Amino acid sequence: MAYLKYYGELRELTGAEQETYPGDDIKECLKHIKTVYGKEAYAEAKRSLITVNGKGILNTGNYRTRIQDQDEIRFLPLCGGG
Amino acid sequence: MQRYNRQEKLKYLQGGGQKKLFAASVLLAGAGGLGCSVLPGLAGAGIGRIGIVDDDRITFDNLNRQFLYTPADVGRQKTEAAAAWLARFSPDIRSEIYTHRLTRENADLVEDFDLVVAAVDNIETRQLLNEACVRRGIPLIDGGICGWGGSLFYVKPGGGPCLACLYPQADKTDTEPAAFGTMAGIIGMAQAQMAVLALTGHTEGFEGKYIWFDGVRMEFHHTVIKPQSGCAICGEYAKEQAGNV
Repeated sequence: MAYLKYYGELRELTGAEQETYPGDDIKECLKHIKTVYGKEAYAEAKRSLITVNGKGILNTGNYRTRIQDQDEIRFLPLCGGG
Repeated sequence: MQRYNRQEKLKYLQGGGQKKLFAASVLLAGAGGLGCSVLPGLAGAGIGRIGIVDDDRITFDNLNRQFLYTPADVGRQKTEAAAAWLARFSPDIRSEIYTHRLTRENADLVEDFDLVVAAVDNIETRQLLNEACVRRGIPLIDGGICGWGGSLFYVKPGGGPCLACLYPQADKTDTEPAAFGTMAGIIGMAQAQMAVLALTGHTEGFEGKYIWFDGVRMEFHHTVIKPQSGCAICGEYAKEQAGNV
């Protein structure tokens, strides 16, 4: 199992700080979030800084980044306001 | 100078560090929520020259978080009010105001400064500053607030990662997100702190580190990101520099 870690608004939308996830890739993970928690959570997750084991997914295949057992996937909010 | 006696005892400000700050120049892009906390931080530290760029006027609903302004300032240009505050707070600090919107055509303004602080309220302007700074080798300190959260990121000149690696899908920003004073204060002051460390040559703690602050749980989280391979901004800059060697 991999671990999904939520921060900020996504914690509120999912009602969870962390959950386990069987793993495949980030695209399927986002679909899981949409199915379980709804469109708003999906949108929030998609616009987050998504890392797998500390590496941003932009360097690891973006939404096709594979998720493996014991991986830690974090969704950190990207803040645009000022 | 007597004003800075208490801080000159600090590591990094001893032995000429304070003089470095007074000889330095910072462009503050944005005189809103973040900017109104960045500016006192920079001024208190003794940065010798501060440029302020913003095209907005003060409105009443700014006053929950834009601490430099009062109800009497409503309607006034933010640059003018911020500069007036700075002149009262620290007459020794030179300031210049740029009361216009930042665009690709005028972003070369950054060339006149040692460091840029992005205290803006939209991703589009962040990306514009990012490109202008990366291409000219000028450090950039980005901050952002979103409700009860806030973020910090330092763009080191000469190799990324940069803001284009962070916000690759630079979509439109929510034009009226929730904004709270203490969050603006925490992040704005943290940006000023990073500026001081950068100007005195101490960035080893935060290069490539995306920092996020949870203002409800009072937790800082961070992740270190690498430059996105093939980044159109920092990747191209790095190639150009390599070509020049």
